[in-house]
Amino acid sequence: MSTSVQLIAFEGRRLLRSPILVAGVGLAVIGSGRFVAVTVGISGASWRLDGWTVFAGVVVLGLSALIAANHAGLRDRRENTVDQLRAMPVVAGTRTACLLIATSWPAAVGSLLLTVVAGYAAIVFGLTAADLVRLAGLVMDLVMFGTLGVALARWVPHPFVATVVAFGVVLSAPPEAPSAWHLLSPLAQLDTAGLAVWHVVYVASLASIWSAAALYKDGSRRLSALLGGGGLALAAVAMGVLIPQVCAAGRCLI
Amino acid sequence: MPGRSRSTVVPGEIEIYSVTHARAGGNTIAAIEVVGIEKSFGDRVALRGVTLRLTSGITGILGPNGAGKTTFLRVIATVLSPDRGEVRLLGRDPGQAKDVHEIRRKLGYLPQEPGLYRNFTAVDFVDYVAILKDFADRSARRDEVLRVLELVGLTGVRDQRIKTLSGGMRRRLLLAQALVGDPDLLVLDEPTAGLDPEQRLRFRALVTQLPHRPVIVLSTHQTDDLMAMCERVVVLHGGEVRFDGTPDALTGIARGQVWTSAEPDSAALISWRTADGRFRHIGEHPAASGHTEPTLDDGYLLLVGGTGSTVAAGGSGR
Repeated sequence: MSTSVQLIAFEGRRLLRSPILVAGVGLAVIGSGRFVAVTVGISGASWRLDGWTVFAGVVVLGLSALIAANHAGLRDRRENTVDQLRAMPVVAGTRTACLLIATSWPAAVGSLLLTVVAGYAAIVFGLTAADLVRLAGLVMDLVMFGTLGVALARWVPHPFVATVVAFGVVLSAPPEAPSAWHLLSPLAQLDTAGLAVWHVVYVASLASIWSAAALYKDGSRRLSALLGGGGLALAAVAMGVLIPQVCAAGRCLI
Repeated sequence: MPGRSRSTVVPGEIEIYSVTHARAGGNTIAAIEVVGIEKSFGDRVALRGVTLRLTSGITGILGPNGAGKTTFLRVIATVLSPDRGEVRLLGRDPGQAKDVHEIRRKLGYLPQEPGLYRNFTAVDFVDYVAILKDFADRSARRDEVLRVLELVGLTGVRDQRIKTLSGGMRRRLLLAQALVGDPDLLVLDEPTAGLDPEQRLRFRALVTQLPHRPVIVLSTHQTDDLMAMCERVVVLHGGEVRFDGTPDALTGIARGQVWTSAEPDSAALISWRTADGRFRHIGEHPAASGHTEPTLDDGYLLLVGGTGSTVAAGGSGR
């Protein structure tokens, strides 16, 4: 195995053992458990009406991934190891890239949980295509929050900032029928599968942009240009598709 | 065993003290070869034309605060690049990307203010460093981590979180991370700072008995550490090499220039009151007799001591 693979595995294990992330996983499990408890044996249950506890639990998991990844990204600075690690063969850009990839480990835990929940829901009352896309969107949210945590650690190296951003994400969560500007929030929930897919694409573009920002700070200019350029292009296309359709539905401004 | 060819003991002059180390094939590769390196931070000049060649053994870097010791060590640890001059480490050019990777694989570095991840266990911390030292093979890495922890005597606490370890254990753990991969070059910046006398003795024993016998460069303010560990001493002052030779040669600088008296002596370059109430003086002794046997401190103070000054008991000259 290459050094990078070893480093990704190491950082992934550290993230999964982070008390913050463990708490997030716990809350996500509670949210999913409540969903199962409420819907089991009830006719007329639906993901749209009853799935909000799963949604809330996974969002909390995502925010805990943000803070845990941020703490991991700030480790060198917090513990004063910047100088000694500069003398190591594995350079800062590689370490950041590995940490970014390792943030997919919490996303993998979240997707495992969501797969179980989706399987249950599909058997008990069935899921629509839009529901499935929304679930996929939650997994992408987890990836995006992890990369945001690393980018914040590189650009605003203070642990308080990640916590503030996490609160900001919660406070700016859009209503059920989002208007055009609400689409900028990664937590926007869209009505149709077609629109929801494009919002997942938008969230993926954010993950790419945050990754580019983190890597740029560590001198990986070529890779960050590729990820940043690709992310911006993807975000522009996604918004180019979404905004006209939301506006056409009469929700252009509010 | 390395053979010494000469040592320079003339203060204020820069010469090369050459320790030859014949390798298989008869080639002598300098672990460190710096020629005329200069480094500035804004208006402050940290290194002025430093030239050194180190091929084996333990070399101590001595000098007052701000002399350029840490800057020099950071340059040879590949953390800083000099503004001017040439640097070759382990026969390679650290300015080249492919070379610097190879140098760092064979380099151990303990900075002046090292950090530890307090929430890691000892074994996790060294494991992390081993990954960063490019140990791709998992089982070889595991073996190496256990080897260095045993070398520094931390096997028994390897699964303890670092925040629960004592200061001495943490220092040994920091040395362990520097020893990962059996480095050919070990750069230690004030490694004994903050250690109690017993811990310092243990540290010295550890460093001088490393099985791989790397070239070691360490900076310290402790002259007894130098006497105990180093075959060679380099004194930096004002960013320049002021002395380069053996500890005995540095001591010898003050031979015939140290005396004691009951009263301060205006003829002395530096004087200080000692614990027995008498004054110890360094400088041109007005009388031909009455000299005291010099110490390494005396030689060092004579070398870097400026204008005449008197300091308190047990202190050092300015």
